[in-house]
Amino acid sequence: MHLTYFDCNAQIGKYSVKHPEAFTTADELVKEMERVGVSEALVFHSMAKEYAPCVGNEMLLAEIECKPIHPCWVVLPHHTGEMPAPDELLSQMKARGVRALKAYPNAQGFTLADWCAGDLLDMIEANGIPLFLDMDQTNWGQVAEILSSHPKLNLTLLRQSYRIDRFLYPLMEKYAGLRMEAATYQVASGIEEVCKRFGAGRLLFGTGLPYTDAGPAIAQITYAEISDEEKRLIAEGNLRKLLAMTSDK
Amino acid sequence: MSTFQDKVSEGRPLMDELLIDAHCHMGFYGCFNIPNNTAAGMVAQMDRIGIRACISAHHAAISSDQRYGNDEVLQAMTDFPGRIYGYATASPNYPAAEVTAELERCISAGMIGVKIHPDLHGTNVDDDKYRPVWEFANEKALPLLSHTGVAGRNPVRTFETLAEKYPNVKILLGHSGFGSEGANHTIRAVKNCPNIYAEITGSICVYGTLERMVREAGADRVLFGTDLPFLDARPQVGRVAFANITDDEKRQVFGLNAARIFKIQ
Repeated sequence: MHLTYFDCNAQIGKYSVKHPEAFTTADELVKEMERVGVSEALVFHSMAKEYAPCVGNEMLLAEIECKPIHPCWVVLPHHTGEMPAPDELLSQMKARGVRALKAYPNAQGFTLADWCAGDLLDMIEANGIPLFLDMDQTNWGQVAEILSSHPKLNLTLLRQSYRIDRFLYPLMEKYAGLRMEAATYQVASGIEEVCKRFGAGRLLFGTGLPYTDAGPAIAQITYAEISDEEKRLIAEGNLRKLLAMTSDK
Repeated sequence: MSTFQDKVSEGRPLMDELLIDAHCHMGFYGCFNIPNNTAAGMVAQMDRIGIRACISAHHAAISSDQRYGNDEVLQAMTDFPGRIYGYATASPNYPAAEVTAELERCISAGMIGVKIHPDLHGTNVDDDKYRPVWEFANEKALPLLSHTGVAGRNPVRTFETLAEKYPNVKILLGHSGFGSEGANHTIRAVKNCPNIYAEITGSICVYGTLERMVREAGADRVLFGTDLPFLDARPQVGRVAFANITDDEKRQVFGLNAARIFKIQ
């Protein structure tokens, strides 16, 4: 069967610990996507993570114009004035076609606990905006606290490793909005087990480009012993639904 | 376009090619859940992908109980002949005579290589406690797979010294030291030592490192492995199938090198 892939986890921009083969531009990302057969990607800018969200988010929009790339902004709590207040942030996202957010609390020195990011998470939850979070930016206790305070949050965990089922399952059972990137969930037959227990709607295709190869993420889906419809959901459908868009770009 | 990439894109098994998994395991693992960890479960996933054979070191053997784990692999070799081969796994934390006897028992029963995991056994790979293992593998001219890293108890650079000291041992650097830096250490070791090989499995497949290893170390020195069922086997198949190398190089990595080193028909 032919699958269309919509990558939930790619990056452009220069970054500090770049290995020799990694690329940095949107053109190079699109070229690699074409080589491996990925149609679209949700992308954030490295400068938004490593330098300043207000700078990197603008660079992202400027660099992805007219490409099969959708923007994902990096956000901070607004208290220091580095980020608009939640209502203004929402207005800007709508005006500029941004439908997803990422947070880097460890790298950027804040917490997603309610006393610090509660207003931001309230807005994200109330508007059904997908929030992406690298697992090295948080811990399972904090994920549980975030979801306890914001039970309808659409939270997708990225780069979450394979040693996680004993933490993951109880949270998956309790919170329907908790999802994860499939590629780094390298539990043997784990894709099948998650689909059986929680449904294919809880997994998203993500490559990790340009940090990691795309081939592993693709093979994990094409060889999965799940239905074709479940494969379509993981490869493309779940992200498209989260971003509330049709195949229009 | 690559034949391998085409087939994997369509989810077609690669049974008409030779895939030999040079690094896999078996069984439960203490600190996380593995839902499908039996020999039968492994063979089912191998069938789905088209992996002809694997060489297994049991999780119990690389951690707590070498004899229990080795026995499980011996049983799997009986249950799945030609599909599951075995690594005789040795713990350095028992008397030398016991370690050598266990290795002898396993090799006599048909295992085709030796596995060590210095990190899990808490012993540096060049510690004297590992000497009986190295001497045994050298005397029998066996392939030896070790867990490796760029630092810690099993740094890649240390294997260069061991390779010179034990020239009959074909040393497989498990995980190639991990990541981009590990690949650089591994390339140097492979270039310096004719009896060192790079085994590629790892949970994080850093973009382009497989291509770098094939280009600089040579396709005849790089081996496919999956870590199944410690990890799912499918990502590593995708890594090789989609790599920016030729199909002939993929064939060497996927199975021809392992067939030659382990003398698998």
